Amino acid sequence: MKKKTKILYVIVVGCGKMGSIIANYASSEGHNVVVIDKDEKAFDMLSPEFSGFTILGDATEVENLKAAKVDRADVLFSLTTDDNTNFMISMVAKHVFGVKRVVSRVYDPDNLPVFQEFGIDAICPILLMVESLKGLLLGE
Amino acid sequence: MKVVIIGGEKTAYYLARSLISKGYRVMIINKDPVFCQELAKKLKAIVINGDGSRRYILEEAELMRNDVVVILTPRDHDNLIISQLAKNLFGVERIVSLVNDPENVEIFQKLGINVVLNLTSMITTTIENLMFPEEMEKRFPVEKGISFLTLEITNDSPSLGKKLKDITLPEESIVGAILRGGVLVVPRGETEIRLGDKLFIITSPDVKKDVVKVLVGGNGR
Amino acid sequence: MAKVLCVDDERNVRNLMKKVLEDEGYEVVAVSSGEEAQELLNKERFNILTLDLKLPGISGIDLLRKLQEKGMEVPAIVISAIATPEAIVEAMKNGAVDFLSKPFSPEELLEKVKGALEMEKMTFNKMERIAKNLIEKGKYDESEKIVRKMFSLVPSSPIPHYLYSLILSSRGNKDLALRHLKAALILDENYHLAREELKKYEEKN
Repeated sequence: MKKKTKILYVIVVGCGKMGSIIANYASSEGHNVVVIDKDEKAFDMLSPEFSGFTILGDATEVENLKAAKVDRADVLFSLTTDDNTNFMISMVAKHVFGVKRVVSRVYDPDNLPVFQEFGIDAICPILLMVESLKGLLLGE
Repeated sequence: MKVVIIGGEKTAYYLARSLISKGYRVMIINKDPVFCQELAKKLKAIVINGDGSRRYILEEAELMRNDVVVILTPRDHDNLIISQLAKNLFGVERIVSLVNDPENVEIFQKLGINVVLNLTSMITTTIENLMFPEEMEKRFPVEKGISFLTLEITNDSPSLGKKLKDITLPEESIVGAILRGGVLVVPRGETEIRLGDKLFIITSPDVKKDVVKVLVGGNGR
Repeated sequence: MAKVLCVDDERNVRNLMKKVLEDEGYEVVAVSSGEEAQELLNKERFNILTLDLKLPGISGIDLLRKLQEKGMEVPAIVISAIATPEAIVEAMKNGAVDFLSKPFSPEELLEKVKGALEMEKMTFNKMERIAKNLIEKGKYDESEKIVRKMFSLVPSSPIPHYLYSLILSSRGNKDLALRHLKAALILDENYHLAREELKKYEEKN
């Protein structure tokens, strides 16, 4: 079954709930996926149908990003649970290896401006939730 | 103008102490409340207990453009964001950061941090310098006509206190390097031989004995 | 259509190989250990074998060796996360026809598989012609792959030794090149191409 959308080389850092769901989805859509996590057990969260690569290691260590061939990535998702870690990985991906699209999870809304300043797409789950709640309140 | 030291423990303390004694205004930001209390007692500096990678803490510190920020945490990813916050949100121009992983030095430099200290590299270099004679002997076995000597200068050494240019060494020998207090000194004519110096000498085997005599006296090594 | 046997201990890699190769029309069987692979190779015929170096039980290299010993002619592509020169040389020495490092793109995998299949079809003489042609064009790496295959197809032939000496010589490894020339002449003292080449060396010295 040939896909019409362009096939992307996607790197997902952090195989927690968020990371594993994104990785599974991207893989099922036919993209080339590489997942990096420093905890081996985290890869258990990937679905049985997941077809891609896993790399066990700390992504703040450049050699692990290199092993993932980050210079070839079209998209990198930094989804670890720590904002500072996500910041470093995102910065390295974008400004050292030139990955065009870098998306990071950001827990603390206060940190958003720094990420945005450097061209890193930031997704703040808290803010998203606040927006939904606001919508609910207004709708009442 | 103040020097803001973020993170680090003992190092932060000694650095602060040293800077204060030189008359600088020093501020310390540290996550550990107990450590902060101790610092506040011992030092004449403003101590803020908090996470330096949080914007509101840096605001509380009233970071100014002409401050010097020194970042000493053991985690490069924390150091990176602190440096970027200081640079981009507060306009600080002089930022010194510790970079723990030698692989990250290039990254920090690429991201515009003025000065970057890498402890592992510095220690490695020093160790390598100490290993220099053994390494050289491995590469140039004695049969090929070269000997390497390491000589330590003691109180009995005839060369103590003399300048290299005033010491008559045999022709087929040269003082390659001097290790003084863990730092490599490049020997020049004006270099004075001091107590405790370790001299690394390259010499032909024939004149080895003479070299030893001239530099350290009768019984060498 | 061609039948491929994939050996890899990671499920996600097996999934990927199956998906990519089946999409391209190949028949794929994927197993997770060298032992399973051996069993299958004894029973069925495969056109290509892909295997990881790191496997539970028997390692990829050992599996390759066993296959060589038994004289099994399945072209093998080694696919590994460890892509150091040492690992690659080790793999090739033990009979692998190609090497692919992880992570790889589907295009890379398909290219390697196609390449390996092409090689299988060639006869020895055809290989000689093609290898010589590549050497003349200066494409030493490509010709090396073919020459290695020639060694394993007809071990008693002086031709691959001669060709290999040309490749080595181009890389500056004159000593080894000379040895292969001499080996060629031992196998066939009338092989004049090798003799000419040897004369050239002797003249230079």
